[in-house]
Amino acid sequence: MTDLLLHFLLFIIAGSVLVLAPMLIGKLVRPWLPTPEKQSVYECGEPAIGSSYIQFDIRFYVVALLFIIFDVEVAFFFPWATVYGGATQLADSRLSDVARSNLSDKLLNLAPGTSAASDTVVSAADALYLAKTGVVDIAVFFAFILVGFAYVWKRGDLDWVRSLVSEFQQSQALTRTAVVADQPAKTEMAS
Amino acid sequence: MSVNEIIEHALKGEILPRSVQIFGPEIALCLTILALLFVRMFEIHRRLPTNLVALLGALIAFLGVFSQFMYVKGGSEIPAMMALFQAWGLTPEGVGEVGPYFTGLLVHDQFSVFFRLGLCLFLVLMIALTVLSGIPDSEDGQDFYTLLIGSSVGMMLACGANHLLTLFLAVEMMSVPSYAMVAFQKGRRQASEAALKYVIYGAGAAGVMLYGLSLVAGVLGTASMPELAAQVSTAFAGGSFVLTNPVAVTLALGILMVLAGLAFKLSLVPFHFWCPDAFEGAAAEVGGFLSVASKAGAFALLVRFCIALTGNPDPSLAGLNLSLGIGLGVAAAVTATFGNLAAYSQKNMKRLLAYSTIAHAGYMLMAVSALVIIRGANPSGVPGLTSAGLDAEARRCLEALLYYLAVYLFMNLGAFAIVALIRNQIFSEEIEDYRGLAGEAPVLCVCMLICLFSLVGLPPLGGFWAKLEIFASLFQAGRVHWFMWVVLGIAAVNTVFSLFYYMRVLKSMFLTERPVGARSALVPFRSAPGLYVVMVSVPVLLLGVLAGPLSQTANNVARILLR
Amino acid sequence: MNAYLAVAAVLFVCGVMCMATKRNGIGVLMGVELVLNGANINFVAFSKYGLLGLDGQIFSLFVIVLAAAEAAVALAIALNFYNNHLTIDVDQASELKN
Repeated sequence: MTDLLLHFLLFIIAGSVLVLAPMLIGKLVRPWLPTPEKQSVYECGEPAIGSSYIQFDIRFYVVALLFIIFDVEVAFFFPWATVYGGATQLADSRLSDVARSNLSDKLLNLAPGTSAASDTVVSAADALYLAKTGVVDIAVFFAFILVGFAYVWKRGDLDWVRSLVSEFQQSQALTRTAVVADQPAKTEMAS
Repeated sequence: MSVNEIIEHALKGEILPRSVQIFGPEIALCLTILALLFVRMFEIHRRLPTNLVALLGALIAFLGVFSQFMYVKGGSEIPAMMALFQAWGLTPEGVGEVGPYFTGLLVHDQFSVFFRLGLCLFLVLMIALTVLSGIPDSEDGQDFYTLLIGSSVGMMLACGANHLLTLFLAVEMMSVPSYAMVAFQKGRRQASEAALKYVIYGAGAAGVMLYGLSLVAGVLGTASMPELAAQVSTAFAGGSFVLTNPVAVTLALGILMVLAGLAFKLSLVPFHFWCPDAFEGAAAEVGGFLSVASKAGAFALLVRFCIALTGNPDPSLAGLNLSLGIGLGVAAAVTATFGNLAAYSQKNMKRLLAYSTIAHAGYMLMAVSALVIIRGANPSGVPGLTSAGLDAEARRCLEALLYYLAVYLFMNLGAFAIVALIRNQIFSEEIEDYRGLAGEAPVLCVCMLICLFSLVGLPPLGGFWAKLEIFASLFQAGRVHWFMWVVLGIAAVNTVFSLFYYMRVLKSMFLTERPVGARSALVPFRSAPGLYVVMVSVPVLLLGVLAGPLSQTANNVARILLR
Repeated sequence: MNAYLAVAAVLFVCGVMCMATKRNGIGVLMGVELVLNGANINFVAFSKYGLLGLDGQIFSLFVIVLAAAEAAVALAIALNFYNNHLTIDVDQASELKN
């Protein structure tokens, strides 16, 4: 532990020195001749326009929201991938007994040698069954996500420029049906 | 469970078919969600309205749970139900057998079937109401019903939660869609404000609850709920559950945080801020859904969690049980009092019903606190009660809660439905604008009278028996600890007080003249809305006159759960 | 294990402070994320050094996904609020009062 700590300390000290020393040397050595151009904020060589704290276009947020949801679903693939990988390796009937018991230990998250001792080595047929079930499982899961994705796509939430014309025409056609639902909202807003 | 066992029993053997059989109604609901999305995707929603698809799916799921209910209750020998049993493929070793399924994540027993039946019935009634009141228009119908059904599936998971993971998953699954449902009317300023408040408080509560769950699961070394009580007794054997023991403090903190998260769902004081705002900003239909279904789901979770903690009454842990029970009792008394006091000054009908919802959550929590107190009691310490007597009283407490929830489903849904239907006519939800409505829409007003009187607890309505059972169980719990008698007194005073604000609404409806120039609200008896409100109010009356069958069923449910 | 639990507790307290003091709706949600991640560290620590086993790891995976779903819904609602009110200051959300 102290060894590790020493490493970290050395690393921190060396890092700080390597950053601070050139800055100090530069400060001592360089000439000091300020002009307005030199004093302005450096932004890729362009003159800076306004503050950088501006509001992003709201469309970024919509795309970001959809991205988060579909991105994070991948987290469920991790446990599946470990089990599926272990199962496909075990499904190979040519494995030696030692390799089989080692892989079983890995799949079960046990200390090496436990499954051989307690007779829980997974047979090739069982592992194949497990792998097949895993494929079906993940296919169903992924199909559900794809349906959601297709729905979002179809509704036009992914289009950068939404075609508002067709939407307007649709809403014109529907005003008659939507009157009942809309009217309370309008009266409450007025009051 | 090792991999070999999982492969043998779960995948090849009996666990998977049994689980799928029990989980059938939930799967049907999920498929309904898919169907809704497909209907909209292929643009056939003009010919096949999404609300009909949703109604059909909910009905199928309801039939599924109903057949499970009858199967569990009466066995496979009911001739009239044979076709239904066969259609759902129910078998004695599947639905007929009580116990955990999906390798212990969920549990199948009378309690969960009872709650799921209520939730499915509520879902059907709710979708029928939205069809009548037209709250989601035909372009957005699938979004609304997807959220509604998704939330219901979450609640049905909550009823069978047998693992802390399922508990958290269920809480999130029932609350995340309801945040979006509150914000559903896009253009309304109030709706978006209500939803923002709800989502911020809700997300905070969920975070705190999860931290509490991590502490509980970590300290006890298990996340399976049936094992919690045993772990508590082994971890703190010999009376080491004291405040000087850091592990005990951590566990107590964790339990407190979990209860805080559940209290948020139940809108108990001091976690009630969101409730009136969310109800006022959301449509009345959504308010009805939040006040009945999400309360029922949260109560199911609370009962399961409390029973898991107090399941194994070790004398050295009596302190834990007693302080849990008294803490719940204090929260219940404060909640009921606060809800009733705040409701008194409301002018908006939805806000009034929101505070009334808070008050009713308080009454129902009283039954849970009585249950915890009685279960934690030492039989030798209570004069005049044997161990068997204590068990019977514990059953009575749970029976009272179940009965109350069943009546509450109808009476609160009725009240919110009438608010929604009146809104469609006069475009207002202020109590002032309800003046003299009885002359124009007598059906709605009479049904409102039934629902509100039942909410007060006047005989001969369902609410009367429900309150009476809760008061009786509080009285019995008072024999274990005197504090429950204090709670009983507070509850009785509250009941009298609540009469006044409900009466104000009724006075405005029945005893004043309709102002000149007000919008008319003609809802005849022979119309779909009229028949709907009658259909919802009649059970309130029936449960008042014929309390026997339901309370017998509830007692049976309680007996199996507490065994 | 205590070191991990301490980090988790610090994250939890930071998150709760953030929720209590921030007036910006997005800031409150950041606090929530901190709390959830504190709980996640707890779960993983208990699963590695405690008795919780693989349950803890699965728990934290589910939490990651649920947190993302919750954040997405919350951000969508905040966006909706912004469209209607032109601000995300939660103190401005005060139209609904008795």
